Amino acid sequence: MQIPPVADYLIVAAALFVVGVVGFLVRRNPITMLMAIELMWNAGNLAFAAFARSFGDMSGQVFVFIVITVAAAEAAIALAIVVMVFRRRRDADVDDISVMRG
Amino acid sequence: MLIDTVIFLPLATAIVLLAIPRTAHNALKGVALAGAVATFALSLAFINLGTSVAADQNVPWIQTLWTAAYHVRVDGVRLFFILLTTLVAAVSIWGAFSYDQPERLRGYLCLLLAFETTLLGVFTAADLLLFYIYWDLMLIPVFLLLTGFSGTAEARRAAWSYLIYNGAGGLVLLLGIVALVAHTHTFEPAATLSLPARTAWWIFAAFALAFAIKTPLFPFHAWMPPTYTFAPAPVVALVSGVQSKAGLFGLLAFALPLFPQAAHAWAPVLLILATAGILYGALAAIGEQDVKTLVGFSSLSHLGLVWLALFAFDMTSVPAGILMIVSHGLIAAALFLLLGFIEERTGTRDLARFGGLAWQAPRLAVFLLIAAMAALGLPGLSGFAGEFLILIGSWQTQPVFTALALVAIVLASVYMLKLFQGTMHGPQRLGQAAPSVRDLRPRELALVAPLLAGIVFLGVWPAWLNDRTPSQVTAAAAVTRVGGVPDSPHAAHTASAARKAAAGLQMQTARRADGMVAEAGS
Amino acid sequence: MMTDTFAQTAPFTILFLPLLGMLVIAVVGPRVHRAASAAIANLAVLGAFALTVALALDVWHRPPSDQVLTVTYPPAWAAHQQFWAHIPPLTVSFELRIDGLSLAWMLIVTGVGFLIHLYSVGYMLDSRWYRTFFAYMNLFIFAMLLLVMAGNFLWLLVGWGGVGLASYLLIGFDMHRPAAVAAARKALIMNVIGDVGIMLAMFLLFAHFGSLSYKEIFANVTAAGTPALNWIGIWLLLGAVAKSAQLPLHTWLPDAMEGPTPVSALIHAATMVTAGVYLVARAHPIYDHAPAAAQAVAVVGCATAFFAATIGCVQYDIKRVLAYSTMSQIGYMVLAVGVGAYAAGTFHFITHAFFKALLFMAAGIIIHNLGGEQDIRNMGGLARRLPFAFWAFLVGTLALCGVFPFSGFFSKDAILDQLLVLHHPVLWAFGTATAALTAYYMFRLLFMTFFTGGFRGKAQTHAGTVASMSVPVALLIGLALVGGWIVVPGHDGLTPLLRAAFADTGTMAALDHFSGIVSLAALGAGLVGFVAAYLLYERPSGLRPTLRRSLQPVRNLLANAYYVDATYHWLFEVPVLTLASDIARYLDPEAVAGGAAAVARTATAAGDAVRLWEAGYVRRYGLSMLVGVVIVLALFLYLAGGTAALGGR
Repeated sequence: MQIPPVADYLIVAAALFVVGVVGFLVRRNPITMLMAIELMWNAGNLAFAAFARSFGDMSGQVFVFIVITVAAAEAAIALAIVVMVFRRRRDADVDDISVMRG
Repeated sequence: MLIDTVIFLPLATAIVLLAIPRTAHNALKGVALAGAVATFALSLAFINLGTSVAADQNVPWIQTLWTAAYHVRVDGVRLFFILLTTLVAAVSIWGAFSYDQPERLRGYLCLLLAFETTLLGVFTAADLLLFYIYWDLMLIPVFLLLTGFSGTAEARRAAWSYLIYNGAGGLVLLLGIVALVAHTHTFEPAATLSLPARTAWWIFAAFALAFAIKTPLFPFHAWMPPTYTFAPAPVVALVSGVQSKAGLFGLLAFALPLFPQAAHAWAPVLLILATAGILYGALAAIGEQDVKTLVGFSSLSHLGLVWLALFAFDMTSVPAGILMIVSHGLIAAALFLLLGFIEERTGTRDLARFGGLAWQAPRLAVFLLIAAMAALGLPGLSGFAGEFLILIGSWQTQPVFTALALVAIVLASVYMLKLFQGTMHGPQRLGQAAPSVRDLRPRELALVAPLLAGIVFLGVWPAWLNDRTPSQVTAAAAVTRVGGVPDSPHAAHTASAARKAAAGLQMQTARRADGMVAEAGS
Repeated sequence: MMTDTFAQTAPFTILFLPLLGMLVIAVVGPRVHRAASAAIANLAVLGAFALTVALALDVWHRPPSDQVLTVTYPPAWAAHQQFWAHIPPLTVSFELRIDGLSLAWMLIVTGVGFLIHLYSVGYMLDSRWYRTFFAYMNLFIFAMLLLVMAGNFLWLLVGWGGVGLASYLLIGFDMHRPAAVAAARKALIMNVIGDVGIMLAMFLLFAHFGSLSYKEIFANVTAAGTPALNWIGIWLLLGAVAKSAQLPLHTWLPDAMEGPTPVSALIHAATMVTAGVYLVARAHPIYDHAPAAAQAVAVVGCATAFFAATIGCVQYDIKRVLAYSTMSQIGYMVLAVGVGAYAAGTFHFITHAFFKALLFMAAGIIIHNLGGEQDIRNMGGLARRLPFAFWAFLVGTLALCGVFPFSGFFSKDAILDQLLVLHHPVLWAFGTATAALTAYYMFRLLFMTFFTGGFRGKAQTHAGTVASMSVPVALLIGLALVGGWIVVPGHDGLTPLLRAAFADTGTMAALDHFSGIVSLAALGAGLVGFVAAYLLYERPSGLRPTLRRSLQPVRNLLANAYYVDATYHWLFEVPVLTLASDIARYLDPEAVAGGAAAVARTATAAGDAVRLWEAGYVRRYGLSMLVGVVIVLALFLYLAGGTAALGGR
């Protein structure tokens, strides 16, 4: 089977990343925003894996695992915060939570 | 090691104080004073340890792409900065006993002791990283003493002014050090440097700016009047008497030996600023009504004289600068402590409200007279010795700036008499506000007396100090090394020296050469 | 050898006895009876005087080549030679120089100084600060001795500053009176100007000779060129002018009369104010080779002698008249040393110390008895009430006016005679004219105080004079009478004593040359002044009101001392104080600190502007991050050369 060139993987990764960015910027629901962040993480992961395969260097693969771990931790903490906010305010619109501005 | 003991004994004392209950005032005072006095006594041992380097300790610390060491040293340049620190610190800590919030005395004493350690660290550091660390650590105790222990809103504002100014100075110093280390890959100041002239010029500028803010040198003194005015007297005694010398120490120990040519290139600018500061400080002191601000401006004037001494690059004026530094440290500490006693008694610093205190407090008057006369430059006291030896040296290379500085000596008599007569003589103005002003108590007499003794001693025997400062280190570093470099900015100066020699100065030149040979031989 | 040991140690003992006296009074004074302080002070000065006499006899009995002693501390065998400063090439040691010149001054300082100490025992009895007074007086004697005994210019300057301090402390002794405080401040500031002059001279001396020691400088004085020596001489003159109250730095001396009368007698008449004369005489090798500077000295002296005498003619404060008279007489001395008549100048210093101290002490008795009254318009007819003071004052006046055979006659005559011998006819003419003015103002003072009808004042006469006051006055009456007889026609007893100190000068003429014309002219001038004073003040004629009306502008000019004080006030005091207060009040807080505050304000404003964007919306932060990343990446690509950063070729 012909392995697609690395550029194809990168195009997919870039598309995923753009979807994530746009999603993060336009949606106001924190859960959706977290999902958008997950998309960005995974776009990065895809690029890492593709490069690792292309260069024959396992470091990229290792990074993917690290990113997955960190992303899981981030998601756990962020969800906890969202739940706390939701409990207090019965609402989950991020634009309403601007009281902590400098 | 003696040197580590001296540096860290005050800090250790501060830690011991924290273990004592804050209400046990006598124990707190006793331990703090014992620690400070023991530090002074130990530091006295350096005097006779050797002529060139009294103590040296070099422990490797960081070794990566660049190296840094825990390198502390006591030599002829550092010795008197250390002695001045330990003496003034002991006196100031004793002076702090009358702090008006006894329940917070412990913190006050701890911070003063910690401040002493940072000062000693600056004056012993022989490694630029160590020097920089202590340099910025100095800010913390002073800032806390100003915000937390003087109790007025003005003092808190002054604290921010102090912190921002000196913090900015520290940052510039850090930039300079980093730029230097980028070339040398070590924080150890190298004996000989092969920097591009342009780079050295910039790095020296960074060093000089940081030191100018700390001293302060006109016009970088905006933090000085509020700090000196609103800080408690023992703190000002340390800041003005000792900490202000850190900038001059940095010049003597690092900037001048490292970048002699850049120093000569910058000399015209710094000489102009120094002379402007000498006159500006004197005039501002004449116009000032607040006694502590007045003495602050007189410090600006007197320390400008030290800058003049260092950048006149004369074989007499540079060592005389060290004399002036010590002398000013003693005089400023004595003046601020005495003014502190007056403020404690009368509750004011305003000259318009004083008058005739000598009637009720003759001993206070005599002590203030001696300190004021020393600041005025009365022959026979240390202020005169410093001024005279600086000016007789700087006259030989910079007669114009020296002549301008002489004007400030006349002005000094105006403002010091304004201070002394305004408080002590004339009709009694305080009236009902302070019906009876107590004369100096035995503790106050005893704590100012060592400072005055030092003033008199250095006034009648300045050679004692000069014989212990290696003139071959200070003067030779500043003069001869540059003289030997061709195409230096100093060439014009040597040319004028040659003209002078042709005009009939052979004898003096020969004597100077003899002196240098004798020094080099010894 | 016994005598050598004595000559090595006596100078230190003489010098430090008064200092010891001061320290003892300062330490134990408050614990003992006040009379003990006075006794300590008097004994210290008396001891110094006795030792000085012994030292003088010892020195003057040596062969002339041995009469200049240089005593250093520490002695030669000590390892450390440089006592004061040791910064090669500059070394200054503690050395004293004992020769005829310094001995003459030492004898007067300790001798007349002791008499005035004794006088003060009674005079200051009512003072609250009795002990302090004697401590200050001893400090003064110490500093003055250091000034005249110093063996190099540095220690001379230390003494010079020390007498300035003592003078300051004693002028401002009545510290509750603003006038005294202001006068003390003025005296010190003007003296600091003089100190600066001497410092400048020392800078030049060091530049040209590499030393500050008299011995080394005077031995090679020709090594420096005449222009340099002229400048050195001019700067030394600045110091002399400030200390000796000569034009144009003379205005502090009349104000210094705010000090207690013994202080005026000791410091502002007999000793300290003559330090300028001593300085010029001491630096004579320089002035001998600096004709322009010497000329300047002579002209300054002559001008001061004349102008001060004119001012003295219209003053009404008894001590101020004497102060202007002192300035005028010191002008004579400065004139003498300026033309090179060093012996004559020294001679006049000696006799002047006697008769001017006498005049001040007599004035002190009057003031003491009138309860502090000093205005002669409120005196009159005191000859009968205070006969002792009158006779003392009369002797002093006659000596001052140079009446034969009083001491002033011989010394003033010596100066005027030397002026003609050394070919200075213009200076001689002014000197003789000044003699007329001197007689006028002194007899005007004498008449208004002791005669002109009855007592005009309201003050009740005080208790009689105490013995401690009258004994020194009596002694000084004798000295003012016979003090000049050391030099009589055909016998000059003074020049040989000074000869060794002036061995290197060519103009050391003997003083026993008396010229009839000079003496007659001086006496005639004095007679004119006396007659004028007599006609105006003792004869009730219409002459005085007429003159007063027609000469009113001149009178105003003189009464205001030529408006020098006012000129200085507007020329120096006002601009400096205005500038200073503007700096302290506006420039520093607003420009310097304000500049710093402006930086802080700019930073705060920038922060506020950025804060507007930071509204707390998470998505906005996200957008910021995105924009930031894009910018950084774009920059990176641009700097790294486009596609190269992406691995392309």
